Amino acid sequence: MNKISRRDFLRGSAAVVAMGMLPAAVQAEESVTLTYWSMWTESEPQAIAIQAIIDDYEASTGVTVNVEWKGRDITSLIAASLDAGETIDLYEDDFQRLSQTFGDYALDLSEMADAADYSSVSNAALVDAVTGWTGGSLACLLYQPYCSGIFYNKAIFDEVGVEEPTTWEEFLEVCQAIKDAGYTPLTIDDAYINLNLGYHLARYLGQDGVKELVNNGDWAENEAALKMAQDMQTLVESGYLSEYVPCAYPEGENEIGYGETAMIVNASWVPSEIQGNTDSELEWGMFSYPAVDGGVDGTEAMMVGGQGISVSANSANAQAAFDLAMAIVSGDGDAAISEACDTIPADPNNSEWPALLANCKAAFDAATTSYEWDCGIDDNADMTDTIKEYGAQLFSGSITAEEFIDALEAASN
Amino acid sequence: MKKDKKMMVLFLSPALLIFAIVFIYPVIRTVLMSFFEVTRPSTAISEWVFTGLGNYLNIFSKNTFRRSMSNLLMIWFVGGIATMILSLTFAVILTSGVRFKSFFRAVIYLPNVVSAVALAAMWMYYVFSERYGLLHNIFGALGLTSLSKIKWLGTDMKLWSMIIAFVFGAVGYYMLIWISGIEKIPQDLFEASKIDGAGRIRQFRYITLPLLKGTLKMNLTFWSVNAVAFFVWSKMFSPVDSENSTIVPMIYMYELVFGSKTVTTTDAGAGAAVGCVLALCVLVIFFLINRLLKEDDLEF
Repeated sequence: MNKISRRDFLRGSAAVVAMGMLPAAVQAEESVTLTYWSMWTESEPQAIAIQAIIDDYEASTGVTVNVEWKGRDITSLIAASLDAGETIDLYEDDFQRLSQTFGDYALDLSEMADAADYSSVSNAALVDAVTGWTGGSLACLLYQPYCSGIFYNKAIFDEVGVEEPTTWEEFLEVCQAIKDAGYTPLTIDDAYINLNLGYHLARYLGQDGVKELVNNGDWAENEAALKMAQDMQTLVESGYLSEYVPCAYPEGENEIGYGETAMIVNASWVPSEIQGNTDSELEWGMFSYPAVDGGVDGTEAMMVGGQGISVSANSANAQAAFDLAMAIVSGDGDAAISEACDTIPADPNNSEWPALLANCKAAFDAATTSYEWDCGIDDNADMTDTIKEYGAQLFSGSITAEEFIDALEAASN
Repeated sequence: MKKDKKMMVLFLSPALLIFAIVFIYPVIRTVLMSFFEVTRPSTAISEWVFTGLGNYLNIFSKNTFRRSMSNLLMIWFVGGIATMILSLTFAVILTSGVRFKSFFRAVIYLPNVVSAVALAAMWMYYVFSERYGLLHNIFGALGLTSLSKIKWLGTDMKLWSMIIAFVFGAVGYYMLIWISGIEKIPQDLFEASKIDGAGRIRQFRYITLPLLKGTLKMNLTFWSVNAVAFFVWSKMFSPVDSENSTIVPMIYMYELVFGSKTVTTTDAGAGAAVGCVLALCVLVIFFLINRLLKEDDLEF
């Protein structure tokens, strides 16, 4: 075999490298390439719907989009990758994390949003939440929003002949009627203990009051905290809760699918989850968490949220990235995601909701105040798990309302 | 053969370089980071703010961290005793001439082949479920109503349920190490003791156990390292958010460094401090094991 001289080898290598670079340089003149990191995995319905939108976008604009389906691990990857200088034009995650945890990596989209009239295709409460966390900048565009409240099996309500309650007293009456009819009124999964406690406490104190309480730790001095715990104790003592509460997630929500239990405090993903877990085909109803006597907030306040898409602050093609994000979060793209995933459309102009969630629309549209995740009760991260632990004991009936308050007071100090 | 030092350097340097980059550098950076206020692991060093022992004082003042350490202690101690006793028992039985040794060895080792995620799901939904679980059904069938209603996945029991499931998955691995240790012991020692009238229990007490000191050291070391790295089982037993009953330092560290649904402000400096505390725990355990279990005096 003939030997290749060092000079020939270097010449050959240089030629190969040059040939590889040339088309790229030419292409850069002609087209734009976007890199999109998604929080979905390739087989999920969201990913399939987003890929279809991207395909349309590529066909209509000539822009090339390289999508990487990172899944939920994107949370641990995004900051390090951007810090390392990786080229990422768009990335997704929970909208609160995009605004708070990763807010400084995101381009402020306010100007582009104004130019594209984003306010006419978005939910004002959710956009306000983003700008509230970031101090005014629009760190992400929102899609696939969720609403929360009390979800119920409509057939049981119809059979018992009860209406959706708006106050706590009415709610207890509904529970009694359902119990008398032989059904379990309410179930709670262990993963959502703080949501139940947070919602009820926020009705008494408002979200800011809840945050102040969990951060100051004045549980024993706060009358509303005791009232909240006593209301929860009433649920236990009246036999309104499933005997398995707190259920190991997702056994509680599955009770609804099995037709045993009527209601659950959760969010708009729960009908789809229960349908998938139990193969049930229920007609779902939903109402806002009831108001309490003398409380700060009423049924107009609701925990809402969703996923977001951020454009990286160092994106070389920010406008193209924004346009793609707009195609996903509004118009036909948004409607396609909603239909494929049984989720709420982000664009209010898409008034057709999936059948599974059709009865949630009235409550969602009526909400004017938004709560964060768990209505502020998780604001002190060091107390979150402790509240959940004693909440589980309260719901299982092993401690009283007073013992619950004393335990949290002691843990806070 | 003449040693060619240049060639040794040439062949070793790539491995050493990679080792330095992927192992030594992150270790040094993590230790340094634990003394600084750092938002994310990738934050530039120029942005770090020195806090001395602030991160350490901070994590030890947190209920959640202290609870995670006490959970880890229970997993290491209670789980460790259960795993060592069960695995040694199986190893002794399987090396005592029992029939179908290979079959039983494979069956006991099988859980190690299955992913921890699948194993944890099996335990949660098919064994511990309060409504449909194996334990519920067995106790119910035996008429033990109160036992059949135990909330295995309730706040009070979840840690113990998780330890039971973890031990089930770990026993086979340690059993194999015990078996290799037992099989190294010369058979003539057992034969001689048999002639002298020793039964199986006395053989185990006076021959097997003393000659397994090195294997015990190895098993305790592996167990400690695995226990400190406890993560997946905790995630599976608390699938949505962390819980006091199952939280361990690795979960706490992960949430500090990368955030979670409820932790929106990351603190890589405190996370690094958690990592350093865990590393220190492992070093203390190594030291104690080496002090308490002296090297074998016997040669065989």
